[in-house]
Parts: sequence; C-alpha cells; structure tokens
Amino acid sequence: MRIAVLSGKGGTGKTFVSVNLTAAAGQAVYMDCSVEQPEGRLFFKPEDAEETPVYTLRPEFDLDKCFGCQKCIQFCHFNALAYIKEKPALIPQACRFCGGCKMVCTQRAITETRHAAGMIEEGISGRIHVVTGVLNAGEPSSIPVIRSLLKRKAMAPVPIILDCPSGTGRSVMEVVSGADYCIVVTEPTLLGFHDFQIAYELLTMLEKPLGVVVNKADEPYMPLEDFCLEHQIPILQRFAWTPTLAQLCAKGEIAIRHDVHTAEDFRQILRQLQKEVLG
Amino acid sequence: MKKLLILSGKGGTGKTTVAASFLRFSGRAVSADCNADAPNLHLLMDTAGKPQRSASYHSRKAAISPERCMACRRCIQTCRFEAIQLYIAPKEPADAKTSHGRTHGKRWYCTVNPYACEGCGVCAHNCPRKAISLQEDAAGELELYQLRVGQLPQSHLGRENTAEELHHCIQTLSTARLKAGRSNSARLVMEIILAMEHADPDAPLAIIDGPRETQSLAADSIGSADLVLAVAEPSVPGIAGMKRILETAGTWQARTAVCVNKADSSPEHATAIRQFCQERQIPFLGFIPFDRQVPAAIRAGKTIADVDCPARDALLEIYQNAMECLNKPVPETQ
Repeated sequence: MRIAVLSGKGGTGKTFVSVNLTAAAGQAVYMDCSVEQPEGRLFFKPEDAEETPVYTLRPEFDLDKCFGCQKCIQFCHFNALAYIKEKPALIPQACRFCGGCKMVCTQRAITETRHAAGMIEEGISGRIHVVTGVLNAGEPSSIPVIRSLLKRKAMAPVPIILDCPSGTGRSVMEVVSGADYCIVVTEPTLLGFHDFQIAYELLTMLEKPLGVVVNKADEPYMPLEDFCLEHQIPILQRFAWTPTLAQLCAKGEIAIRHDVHTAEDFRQILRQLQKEVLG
Repeated sequence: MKKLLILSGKGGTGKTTVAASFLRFSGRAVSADCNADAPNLHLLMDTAGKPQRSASYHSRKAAISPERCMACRRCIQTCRFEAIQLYIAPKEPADAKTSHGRTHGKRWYCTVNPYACEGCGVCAHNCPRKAISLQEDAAGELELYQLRVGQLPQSHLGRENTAEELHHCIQTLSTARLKAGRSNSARLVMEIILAMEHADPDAPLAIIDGPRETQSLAADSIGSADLVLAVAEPSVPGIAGMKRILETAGTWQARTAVCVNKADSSPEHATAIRQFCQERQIPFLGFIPFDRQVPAAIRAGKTIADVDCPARDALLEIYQNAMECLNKPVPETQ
C-alpha cells in the first residue's frame, strides 16, 4: 500500500501527517520525496543512515577537438551552453542532461561524466524504515532524485508513506502517479481551500482516490466542507490547533508518542485507509 | 525600482500574509506572485475586475505523428526523461473511430507523455522517419491584476497618506497560473517579474512573493532583488528552511534580512533565530506574534494590515525596518 501525502499550499502539515501516520502504523516505510527541503528526518532522527549518491550526466568538452561549429549551442533548448572566446562553455545550473549536445557534435569533442545531483539517505528509526531523498543546492531538476527514490522497494509488505513536495507541480505528479491512495492535507482558510482545489484537479486527472485531512481546524470552513460533500471526498480527520501539538512539532518530536489523543486520531485514519484502499 | 523579495525555506510560514500586508502599508508599488502552480496573493487583495491574461509559452513538447512512426523505438532509447512509450493498439479494433483506426491500421507506435517531456529535441533529431516535431506548449497563462488599494486609516499606517498615494491608489499584481501537473520554472518566474516591471516602470517599490521551490530561484530573480527577506518560523524545520534560503541567497551575494512569524508558538526557537542572525550580522527585523486574529482574517480573505491587532503593529514595524534596510546604500565590497 503506497499512500501519498500532499497539499496544494505549503505549511498545512504534510510532514506532520505523514510522519505521525507512519509512526502510528508501527512497521512502515517513510519516504521523504520533498527532496528540496526534506524535513521528515528531523523528526525520525534515523540511526546509521546510509547514503547513496544519485548521479546525472554532464557534458564535458575536449576543447582541442572542438573547432567551433556551434552546433551544440544551437541544439541546446535549455540555454545551458554559451559561446565564450570561440569555445563552448557549460552553464551547469541550466543543464538538464538530455545528451543532445554530445549527439550533434561532429568532432566527438563532448564526453559525459557522472555528476552527483543529490543522494538517497536510508536509516532505521525504531521499526520504521526512513528513506530520504536529498537534492543538492542549485540543481535544476528534482526528478532524477525522486525517480531513484521511488524505485526503492520495501522489504516486507508494509505500508509506504510518501511525503510529497509542496505544490502541485511536476515533481508531485511523479510521486502521486505511483500511489494507491492520496491524502490531501489542507487548512480551513481561503488560501488553503484555493490550493486544495488545484490538488483535487490534479488527482482527478490522474484518477487517484483521495481523502482529506483538515489541519488547524478550529472552525469549519464551509466552502471546503461543501466542496467535499458535493464531490464525495471523505474527510479522514480534523486536527485542531493546540499549543501542545505546536510545541511538539516545533521541537521536532513525533506527536503521537507524547499525546494519546493524537495517537488515537491517527489510528483512526489508518483504519479508514484500510477500508478505503482494500475496499 | 527597489525590489523586495520575500522567501521562506519552509511552506506556510506566512510569506503571502507578509507580502499582502506590506502591499497595504506601501503607497505606490507593484507586486508579483511567483507561485505559479498555486498563486494566491490576489485572493487577499481587493482586485478590480478580471486579470489581463496572456499565454506563456515557456516550454515545448515533442509530438509524434502516428502515421509516420514506424515504431523503431530509437526515440525511446535516446530519451533521458523516460517520456516516450510504445503504444500497442488493442488486438480487435472496436471501431474505426479509435486512435487505432485513425492510424492506417497500425498496431503500435510511439507516444509522448507530455508531463515527462522536457522538450530537449533529442528524439526529433534521432527519428529516421522525421515523425517527431516539437510544439510550443502553453503551460499556463500570465495574469496581471489591478488592485484597489483604498487608503488605510492613518492610525494603521503610522504616517499620513502622501498626495501620490491618494492619486495612485491602484497597484498592479503580476502572476501566472499553470495548468495542473506543470511545474514552475526559472524562466516563468523571470517572465512574471518582467511583466511586473513593465506594468509600472516608475513605481518606487516592488514586493515579490517568491517561489516556494528553491530550484526556481534563478540567478536573475534573486540576484536582481535589492533585499531578500526570509520569513522564518520558530521550529526545527523552520530554522532549517531559513538557513537554506540564506545559503542560496548568499551564493548570489544578495542582501538578506530575517523576520520571525508566529514567534510565541515556540519562544526558544524564536530567540535562537535572532541569535543566529546577530552572529552572522544579518539584519533581524522583528517578531510577529501568533495572533488568533490572523487565521480569522485570512479565512475572510483580508490582510493583517486591515485588522487592528498586535500582529499588525508588529508587521508595520517590520515593514518600516525593511524599508530602512532597502534604502540603505549598499556597502562597498573590497
């Protein structure tokens, strides 16, 4: 069972929900796909983390062979090649490693070398397997790291919780397309609801079943409630904002290990997930 | 035009809330919302009418003509983005109207997944049948909103309305809206910012609600900002996010400043942030208290500047501090 946790808006509590849900499941795998800002490991503090680099290819130029035809520069759609002092030069932040420049070079002056775009960090925290994707600063695309992360398989048939990047862009889509069920975390505000609708649109396009967790739900926000009722979206849980919960999260603690009520709330989500996914 | 770029390394710290309030405090200004996959600064502002829309063609996608494709699979082999698959038509064509019927009875051919395609053109170059063309892709639309910025009462501003303000009570907000599943890009962020500059080139101040993904922060958008304001949240992930922003801004040698939102939700982390800034000599602009009226105002689609509450007073002070930072001459680097 692969469960993706996403939200349109940032800071609604994606990591809060996915970390606690994983912890509530007992034995489970937690995959942090928000590779630009992985935060789950700050809560799980996994031990003996093993790091595996993720490589992408990057062109290198043999300037002695190059005679300046500029075919590679014309071909590059990402404007990653410049022509400086009659020689091609690479702008690494823009290169998407499509391999086009090497392909069009008539002089075989371009070779490709491995370059670390990020890494996968794997560790154990109690009975939970914590897998984190980390993207290096300044990398143009998070997709290679996310793909390499999603290819990791669980050793046992345990639930896999996927903590998505924020937003509803390409990288979220990559994670969600492999999921069996999606949990959208939202908050009962105008902004939260607006972004929730965008996430809903994406998930309907991908034909993914979904449920909603309303976080910081002090008061019901009627437009959201009506929308869920109308589109038959189950509201899996509501979490009210409490100083205790906020404190625990700020300290980087896993809330269900300190607060029995929250623990029960998450177990309830799990029971409902079982029902929704297994029918 | 002085550009203030508001960023946060973590979601939900209050970037948009701060940007919206700053816009209300400022007089003549332009603004931009760079979160093109889910823009929402305009939701908090009083927009006059529908936005002016124009298509943004910031990408292209490969398209394969099934008639020409011989299913040699060279494109599949060369594509680095796993964006091309072989389509196998069902054995028994149900009726001639299916795609199978339209392709001269062909059993299989290659198709492009437009979401995975990056538009590099490698497949088109390699196709022996010239079956692949690259097509401009409208990933979204640029939007230009006119904002009505009725004057705030003097007590809310801490100063009198200037004559200019009374006349220029319309601000422009530039943003974009992407189709579902498309990603924001550095190029789109630049388009949004250019559209903003073009809308009112003489405006003294630009307030930019920055993109939430750091990868979209192209050199130009961060490098052209006169001040990068990091809105931090007092928590372990919040501090990690703030450091990431300061690090990224540092690589572009941008001037930075920090403020803390929801400060009393965890006072010890809030003081830790201030201490961090003092050690690094980063201007620390102030704390915004956690205020129950803030979520209530946002739920109602209002900015904090319009509500009389402690958070507003704190924000006004931070705004004034930010303006002071912004107008300080850049110290010369040796």
